[in-house]
Amino acid sequence: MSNLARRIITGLLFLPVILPLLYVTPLWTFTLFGALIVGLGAWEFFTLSHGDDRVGRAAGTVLSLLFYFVVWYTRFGQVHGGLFAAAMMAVVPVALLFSLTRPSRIPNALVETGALALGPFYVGGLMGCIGAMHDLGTHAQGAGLVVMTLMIAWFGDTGAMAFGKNLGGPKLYPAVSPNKTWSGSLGGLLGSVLGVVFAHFVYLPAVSLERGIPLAIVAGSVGQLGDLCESVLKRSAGVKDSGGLLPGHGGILDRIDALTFTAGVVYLALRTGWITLS
Amino acid sequence: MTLIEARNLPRHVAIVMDGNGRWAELRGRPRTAGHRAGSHAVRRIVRTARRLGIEQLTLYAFSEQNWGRPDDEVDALMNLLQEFLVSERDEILQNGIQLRAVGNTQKLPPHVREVLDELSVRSSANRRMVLSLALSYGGREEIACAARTLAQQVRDGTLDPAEVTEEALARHIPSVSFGDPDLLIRTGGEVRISNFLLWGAAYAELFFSRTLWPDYTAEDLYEAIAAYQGRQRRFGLVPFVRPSARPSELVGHTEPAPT
Repeated sequence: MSNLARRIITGLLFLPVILPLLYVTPLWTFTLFGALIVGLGAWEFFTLSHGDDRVGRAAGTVLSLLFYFVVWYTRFGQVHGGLFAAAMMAVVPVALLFSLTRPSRIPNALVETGALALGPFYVGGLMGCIGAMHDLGTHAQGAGLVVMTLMIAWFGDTGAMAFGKNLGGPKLYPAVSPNKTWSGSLGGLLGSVLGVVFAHFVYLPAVSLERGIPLAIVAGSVGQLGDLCESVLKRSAGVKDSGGLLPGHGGILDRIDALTFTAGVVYLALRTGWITLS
Repeated sequence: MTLIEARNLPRHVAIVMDGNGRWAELRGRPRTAGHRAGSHAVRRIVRTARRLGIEQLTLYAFSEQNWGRPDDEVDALMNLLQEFLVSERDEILQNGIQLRAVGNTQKLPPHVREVLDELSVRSSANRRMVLSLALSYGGREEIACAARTLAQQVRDGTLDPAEVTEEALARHIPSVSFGDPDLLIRTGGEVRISNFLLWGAAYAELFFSRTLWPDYTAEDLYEAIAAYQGRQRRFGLVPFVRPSARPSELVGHTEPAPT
């Protein structure tokens, strides 16, 4: 089975899990599911930075989870602004203090502390955007926003793969990701736009096309950059896939690398009023 | 039936909901019964405003000075407010209404703040109508608070005293962050502003109705809007003149302007 087909099948299997969590069960169930993704993603992220140092990986994962919950609970500071500010300021000192307690890791302290300070924002904070947008508007609207974000990211990814494989052409950025092409990137944007068009006509009419399509282009492009950013991290750590949990998809982190960036853009569009729910 | 123009609607209507207490006294019932009847009027008017397509409705629900009322009455008002937020939650979200509070909401009891915060955040991406509840609100307090913020910035050196302009101050006045009120209504027969939206009311058309708030209906709101539109028509002849120098007859209207 081709990688593309395997990827699409795994994606489809994912739907029966995520759609009920979004649309049917109480809101907090999706928040917990998000925490699971953050936990697994953070674990993979800290595997890149900390290798077999399980204590360091666990600490980073816990820190990311805590940050995710604070971001979600305070809706990026919309309520309980003090708690949000405290969490923002705590991440860096906590990461440094943790390294202070581990003299045996001093040779790697700079990289490991850097990763400890980055991971909570990269995995926890950006995933927190998804949790926060799920709690906007009515239950169906919030769920629709999340599905739209997933579609911008994953239709984009699939579109890029389909176009890139079949059209080929000049490479996008071979130093980071040898297989990505400009045609794939364009196909990715088409996929992202298709995701928003689908959202508008099927499940989220509140998002207009004249606002939604520019959003899809920006969020899709930024998502593609997120994909490249993760590739840089993996290259630096010398691995190809961040983990092997999902067939055809690489690890969790490979799945959410574009999604986290896309989610950040969509959430900002909501907070700034570019996208409204009415 | 009052006829109003579908165009030329006031974009922002603000209401001093006065007369609950007198309404109850007239019926020999406790003041809290008046407030309860008043909360039904709030539902009616929110619905009417939304159907008309008014972009913003600001309701003077509880003034900073109202904390001085007897504890029982304050508690009853807070419970009514919480009940209102819980019962209107779905209607607010389904109709794309953004709910927000202006005023010193830190003073509200936790059980009210909890539902208020939740609904404010959840409805923050809605724009069909902005429903602002003035809670623990005072117009002077709001201006003083904005002045304090600017003074702090001046002291920190991030703002030059010459930059303390009208616009700079207005940016820190939450009640006008979506625009000044065009029409300010007071029910219950009194002819006072009572510390409501002092900044924003600078150019607002004022309309005073004798109807006590619990009796206030859609028809009363139409009447106020018709009066507003009548005045708009008259002054539309000189559209470039800011409505600062207006005949005093505009203040103190208790009946709609003859058209």
